[in-house]
Amino acid sequence: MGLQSSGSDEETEQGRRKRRDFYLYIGAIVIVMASEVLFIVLLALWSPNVLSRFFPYITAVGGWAVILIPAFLVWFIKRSDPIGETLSAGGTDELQGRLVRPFIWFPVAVALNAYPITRISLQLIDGGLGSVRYSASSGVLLFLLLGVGFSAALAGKGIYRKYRGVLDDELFLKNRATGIQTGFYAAIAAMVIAYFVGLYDPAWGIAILPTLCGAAIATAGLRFVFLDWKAGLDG
Amino acid sequence: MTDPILGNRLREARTAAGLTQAELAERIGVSRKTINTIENRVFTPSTLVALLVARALARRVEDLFFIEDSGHR
Repeated sequence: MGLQSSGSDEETEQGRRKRRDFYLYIGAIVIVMASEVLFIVLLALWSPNVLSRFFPYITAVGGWAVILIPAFLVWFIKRSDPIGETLSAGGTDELQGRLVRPFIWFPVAVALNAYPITRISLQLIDGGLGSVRYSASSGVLLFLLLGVGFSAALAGKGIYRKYRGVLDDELFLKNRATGIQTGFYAAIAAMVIAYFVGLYDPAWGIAILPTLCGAAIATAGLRFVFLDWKAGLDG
Repeated sequence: MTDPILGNRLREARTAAGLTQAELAERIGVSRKTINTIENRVFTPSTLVALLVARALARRVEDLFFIEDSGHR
């Protein structure tokens, strides 16, 4: 009887944590998106020319925000909820879910950064941007490094390595391998596209490479997330 | 030509033992999703996991898993 009551308490606590995590995620994203939309609307009201001038920066800020805010939340939740507690409350499923969820945000970041990064790259290739040339190129590099970080996480490095004993059950490994395989096909397709665009216009062939690389990594991550979600469905 | 697939009576054995998917998963150290996908025949477990499941349910592995020759995959 005591055990049942304790199990029920744990379920309630776990449910409360899940709801809190969910509302934190949704709340942060809604605030970021609403701020960005409001900013765009205000700029559009002010002057359409200003909007076209600032649009790349606005989307870039949004792109980084959708990465950094969930990353901050993961850090915050992890800090207030040690791993031992998570394992006793929800076990492997809960921990796997936490590590899979961030992969949802990378495609959003890629989509929002696609235009500004391609435009900055084109300006760099043309020898433009003057004094902000190096800071602009470091922004593109940072985006690519973020992609490398996501690839490493997908391949089981970093935080995955720390919890390998708990995470690496057969299904999780299989889903991850399938995700990486899909990403490999997407990367080959991306290279082919970049090559043919490059034949038409070499500058564009180079400028779209960061976005295509990001899209390939995002494809791998999304496939992983989809398989993990599908595995949880009953029936 | 039929392709052999791994059938199982895991759901029946688990419910007969009075266990939830999560409880069985915890006993053998895998995720609930692993148990779910085995029961739904989406995922074919390794010999090790099949033996661990059988031990956790106090059954013989051949009582839980069998080869089905029915249908194409």
